[in-house]
Amino acid sequence: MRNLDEQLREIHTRSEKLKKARRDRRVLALGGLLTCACLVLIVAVSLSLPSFSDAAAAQNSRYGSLILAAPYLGYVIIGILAFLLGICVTLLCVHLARRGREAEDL
Amino acid sequence: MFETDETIYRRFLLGGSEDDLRLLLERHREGLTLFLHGIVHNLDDAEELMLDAFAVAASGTSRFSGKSSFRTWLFAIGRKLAVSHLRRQRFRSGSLENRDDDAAPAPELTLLREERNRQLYIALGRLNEDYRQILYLLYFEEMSHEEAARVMGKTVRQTYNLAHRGRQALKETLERMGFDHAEP
Repeated sequence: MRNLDEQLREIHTRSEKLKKARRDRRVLALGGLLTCACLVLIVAVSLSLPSFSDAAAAQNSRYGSLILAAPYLGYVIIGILAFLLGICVTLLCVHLARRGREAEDL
Repeated sequence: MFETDETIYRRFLLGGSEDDLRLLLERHREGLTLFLHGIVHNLDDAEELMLDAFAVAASGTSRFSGKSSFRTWLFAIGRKLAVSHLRRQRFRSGSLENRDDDAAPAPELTLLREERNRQLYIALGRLNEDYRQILYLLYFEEMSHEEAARVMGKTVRQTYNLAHRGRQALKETLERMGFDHAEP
């Protein structure tokens, strides 16, 4: 059997591993929750798009009105939203990873 | 001034003092190791599981509600870890390897320094698992039936029944080992 000091050191090492595993689980759960929320948001926006695109298609004398034509507008809006969503999720993941590394260093 | 385990543990969780954890480890490591040895039948594994149980307590992974004593809670964690360990071992190998049946753990453990205790521990090792655990908790750890019930995940009534049957079985085992005047 290990002596008391060795056992204490081992307990500290294992305890840190358990804390890290718990933090990782929380980050994963939070990421999953946010992804689901964003998907719901995109679906909700998609369903309400016909009214937006009809209004935008009426502006047919402006530059870029080809893009704003009714058949294309939905794709454009969804594409922009998905791009912004990707940026937000990436920044969030970077922030959480940095916080996790800082906590480990402590 | 003697401080209870619960006070020391709560102080450790708040401030993280090494001395508090050391004190708790000094008080309970041998008893927990012996208890776990009775389940996994291997001293090295028992020590590893004891360290895992303390790591769970130290990390706050499992929340101590205060409904039972710290020792009871710690032993319950250790027991769950030991049962999982046995399940994984059986799943991997299909049998239990590295058992040291009929051997008492290292004599440097204080609880087994007396020959009488060593022989008693060996006799306990020959009993059914539930009998062994309940008798160890009641007589080596001097837990109450309520505490032992919490550790083993049974009702108090079940622990009384197990203790009674366990004592009968222990008496027969001790008689077979040559202890003629063993009493339940």
